Amino acid sequence: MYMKLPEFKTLKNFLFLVATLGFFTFCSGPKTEEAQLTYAPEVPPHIDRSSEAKVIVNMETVEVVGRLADGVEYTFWTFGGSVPGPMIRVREGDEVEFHLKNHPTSKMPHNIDLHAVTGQGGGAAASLTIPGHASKFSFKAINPGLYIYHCATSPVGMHIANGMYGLIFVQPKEDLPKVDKEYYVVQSEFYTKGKNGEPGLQPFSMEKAITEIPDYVVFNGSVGSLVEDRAITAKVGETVRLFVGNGGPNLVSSFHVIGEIFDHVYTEGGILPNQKNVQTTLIPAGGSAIVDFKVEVPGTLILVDHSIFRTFNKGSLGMLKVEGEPNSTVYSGKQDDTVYLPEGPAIQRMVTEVKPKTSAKTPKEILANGERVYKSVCAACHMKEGQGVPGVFPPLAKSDYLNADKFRAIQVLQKGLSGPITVNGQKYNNVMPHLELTKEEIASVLSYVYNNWGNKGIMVSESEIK
Amino acid sequence: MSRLIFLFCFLSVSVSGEMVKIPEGKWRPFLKESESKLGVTIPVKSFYLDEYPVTNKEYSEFIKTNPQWKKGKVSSLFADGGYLGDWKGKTYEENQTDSPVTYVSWFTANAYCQWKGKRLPKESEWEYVASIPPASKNKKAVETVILNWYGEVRPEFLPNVGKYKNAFGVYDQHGMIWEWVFDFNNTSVTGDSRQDTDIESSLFCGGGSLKANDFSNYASYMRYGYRAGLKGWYTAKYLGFRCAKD
Repeated sequence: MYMKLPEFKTLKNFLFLVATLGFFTFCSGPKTEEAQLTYAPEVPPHIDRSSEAKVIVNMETVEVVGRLADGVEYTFWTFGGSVPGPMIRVREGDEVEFHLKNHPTSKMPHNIDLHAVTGQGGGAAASLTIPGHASKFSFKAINPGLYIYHCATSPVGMHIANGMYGLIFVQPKEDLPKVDKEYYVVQSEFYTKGKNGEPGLQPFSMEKAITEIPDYVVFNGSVGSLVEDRAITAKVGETVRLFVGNGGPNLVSSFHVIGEIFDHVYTEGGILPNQKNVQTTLIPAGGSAIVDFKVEVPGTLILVDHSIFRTFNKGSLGMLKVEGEPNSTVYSGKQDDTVYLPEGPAIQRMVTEVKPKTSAKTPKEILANGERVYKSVCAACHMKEGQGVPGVFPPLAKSDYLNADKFRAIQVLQKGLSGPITVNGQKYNNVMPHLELTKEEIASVLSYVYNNWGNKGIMVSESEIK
Repeated sequence: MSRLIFLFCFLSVSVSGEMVKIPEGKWRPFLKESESKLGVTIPVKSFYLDEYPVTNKEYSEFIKTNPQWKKGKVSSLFADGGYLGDWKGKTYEENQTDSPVTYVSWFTANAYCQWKGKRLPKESEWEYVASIPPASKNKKAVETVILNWYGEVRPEFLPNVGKYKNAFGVYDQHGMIWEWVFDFNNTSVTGDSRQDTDIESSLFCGGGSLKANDFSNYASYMRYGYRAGLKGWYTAKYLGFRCAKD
């Protein structure tokens, strides 16, 4: 493929074109470019130019149905079709021309309040846009730093609660030190009519939003958006910078990375690294922080809101997977493992939060329900594919212990298990807590496990459980 | 069979363009105007309001006798390029006969009502009727209908009119579409000399919470925000209208 060049009938026409182009290049003010927007966890590329520019930002608001958690759907109102919205990067001193387009299929009017804007409403009043229309306004990026943007159409809280927020980074003229990896993470919470884990399309609950009791607290718009194969990554020895926002609408975040210490924190999204060696940094609703650190040893670092019940019960958990050579001086790993049970082999009770109300009837429904229970209750220890953790949590995949006796398996789920057992030739001596699952949940989760990962493919019915 | 006949009768009644006599009453504005006080109510005189939003079928009859309002003919001063955007070609889809007409501008809606010997309802009239809950229910029921509509999956095609009825017998003011009112732009238009007051009256952040008469009526904010974003020639997918009469 080649492009046909325009034909110039006369030299005069050609010279006129050259002169016109020259005029726009040299005489019409700063260079114009379109901002390159990225979706979480990607960060737009570093801006290398040393002069100011006119930057055009094109952003679209669109209302979409998407996944909030496994089996749970939600009608998200979004910037750019994603939660959080695309990340914007401009340079201090740039003139930003913002185009907000509200998709014709939208039901709602939307606008944008960029905290990076100095001016009334952060651009909100100037960008109020009904479906099928577009608004334009301009601002000068006077103040470098990391800023939240969000929809500010009334009722503001509802637009934010439904997913309309993101980050804009105004890169300072005196740039932050270079790092090897940059990532974009936004915490926020969701308020649904049904409880955490209740399947199906979940409507927004204004009542819970007003009382500030969310059902989900998440990173990047859904439970599990930053785990397993969607985890962010780095190699041993690399420096990592996280641009972290908190969309709220209500909660403040105690942002922490398990197994790391932030080398620098740019508190509240400002541009001074004002603290060193920080474990947990507070990120207000509608605020942000920049943290950076060098990863020294391999392993999976866990991103959490250290207001910790949110993390393990409502979803605010992400992963940074670090690959590379171990360094036993920095961290030894496990050096010994012996049994110590001062309270005796008694089994502890653990109340689970997941009480899905379903009436799964067909085998397909039962297995789907079982998968949901598995992922929310069992996967944390026995792992996503039932592979277990060698020496600690027995595998459920191709498990001779499991396949040998269905009624024993039921008992284990009903009453817990402690003491030595042998699974696939390996000895385990640990305590599995008593999980308060309903008969329906036990039947469906066992059916799910028996029908996956090379197990014997049988169904467990509720009537078999005493 | 008898059920079918009943259904047929119901449907044929449902699109006959009846009007409902609205008794006079008092309405508490959602927004506090600069000269009014919180909690102040304004009187609304008795008037007539269309039982249903104007449907595709009704609107196409208007176009038949008023070809200047045909799709593709209307001046861009009176309707933007989206005009009747859900109509494939020159007319509506067959299954959309009794659905509300949308993608209409204020000018075209106004012309329709005049052709019928009617007028567009005033905001106060429309809101007064819209604030009335269904028979034997309280105001919470109105809020529920609105919030459910916000949260539901957008329908590709609008259903037939007749989904939701209030105690006056007026259908579908909530739960299906937005509607034009005569004075749609009195809510809050920014950058205007009328705005030169201490309180910012436009409906974003600050405006929303400083001006509201009733914070429990949060579901309605969106409607006012929507109106504030309109210009007379705008058309949109979920924007229709109905007419009123003295």
